[in-house]
Amino acid sequence: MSILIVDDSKLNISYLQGILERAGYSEILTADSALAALQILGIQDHTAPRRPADIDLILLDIVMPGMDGIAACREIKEHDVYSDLPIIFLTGNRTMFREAFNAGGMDFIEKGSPEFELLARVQSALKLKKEMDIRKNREIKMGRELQLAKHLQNSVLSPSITENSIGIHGKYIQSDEVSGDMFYWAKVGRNRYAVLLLDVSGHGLSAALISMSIRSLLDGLVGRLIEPQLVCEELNTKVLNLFKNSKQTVYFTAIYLLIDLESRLIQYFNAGHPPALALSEAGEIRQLGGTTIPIGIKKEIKGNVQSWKIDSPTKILLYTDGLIERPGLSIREAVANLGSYSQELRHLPNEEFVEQIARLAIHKTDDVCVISIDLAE
Amino acid sequence: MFTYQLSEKEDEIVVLCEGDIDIDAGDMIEEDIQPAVSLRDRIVLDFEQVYFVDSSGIGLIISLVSDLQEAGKTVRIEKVRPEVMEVFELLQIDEILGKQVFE
Repeated sequence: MSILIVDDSKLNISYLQGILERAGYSEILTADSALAALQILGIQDHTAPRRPADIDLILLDIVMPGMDGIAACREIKEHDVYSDLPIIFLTGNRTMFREAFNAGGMDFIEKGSPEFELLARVQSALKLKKEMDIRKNREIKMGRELQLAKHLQNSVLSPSITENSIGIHGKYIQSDEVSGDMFYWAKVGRNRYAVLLLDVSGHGLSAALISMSIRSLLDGLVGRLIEPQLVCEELNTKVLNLFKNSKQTVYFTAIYLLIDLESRLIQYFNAGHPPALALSEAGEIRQLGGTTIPIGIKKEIKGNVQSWKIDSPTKILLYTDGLIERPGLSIREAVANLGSYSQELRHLPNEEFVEQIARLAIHKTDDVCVISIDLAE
Repeated sequence: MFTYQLSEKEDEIVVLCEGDIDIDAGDMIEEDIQPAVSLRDRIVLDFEQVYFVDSSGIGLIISLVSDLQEAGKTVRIEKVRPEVMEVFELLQIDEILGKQVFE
């Protein structure tokens, strides 16, 4: 690890350098003024380089001609790249301590202190710096991993469908973390479409792992079974099996619609999910409320499929609870408010409609999924 | 922030729950509450001071109550606030744990 000694006295520098070298510190840089030190750190006109210079500790004299040590310390600490760089002041006089610590100094060494004290302070500062570096690198690596995971999670979402009689658009607003919201749709016959939205309990990495493992089942499962009742039961069995060795309760809420454009019949199950909203051209708002318990909790699940026929152009809005959930506030009221708000925007083209609804989630910390199915005449 | 107090009565033990039930309440529910109430036959969870339960919290409640039920205990959840009850209704907790839990 490398140490920078800043002192206007050549004698002091060589004294300190001697002690440190005898103790085994080989990478030592020296500067005879604050300006020379800033130059070594790459700080110029109050601008720091993007990557910090390779220095792990500064021993900084306070009283120097020109810029003094306290001003130099303040200047160095202004820059984020050096916020973790420990600075130990060298001083002959305690009166400046308060100012020195306020400027961001970590420790001090009184001139004339015994060698072992100097070495102990240097050692503990370097140890701290090393630990901070390790932690920082781990954070950067985790951040990159998280970005990649978010990208992957996004990439498995179904692309929009725009056809004459049906449009399906979705939007996934990710929070800082990955999470367990996911949507999926597919054409499952000549005029039939299946749409699924699910929300795995909990947040973060574990929820994302669960939702991705469910995602991998969907092409086969939905394509083969199609009917809501069967899809519901099979998902339930699969999830129970997949996580049977986990002591945590793994479950998700879901809403699944099977849309038949020919008969205009819509069948669905809602497993503990907030109600989807069917907005008809006539201004009617139908809530597609719960029909069964969430998936993955009990061995027995009754699909209790509901259905209705649509007779005019209709938009069906599906969303995850992040869109409406606020601690302490009524969900029922929030759903009713969302209903009247979305009815006002119903006339918008489907993609724009989804965008507008998704804006409600802008200040949310939770992830939010919004889907709209636009059924034309 | 979640805390609790136990109050022993003659024929039952009451867990006075206070605060939000989410992932942070997990350790306390699994490691403290569950062992503490497991010795009794009748357990009451008092939710009067519980203002928010999220999806992880629901998972914790389901695990706790169904484990106790499987061990032959009688569990009731009492004094649920309306906003929390809405979440329970959405997820049909009474279907999962049995209606008697809320009676």
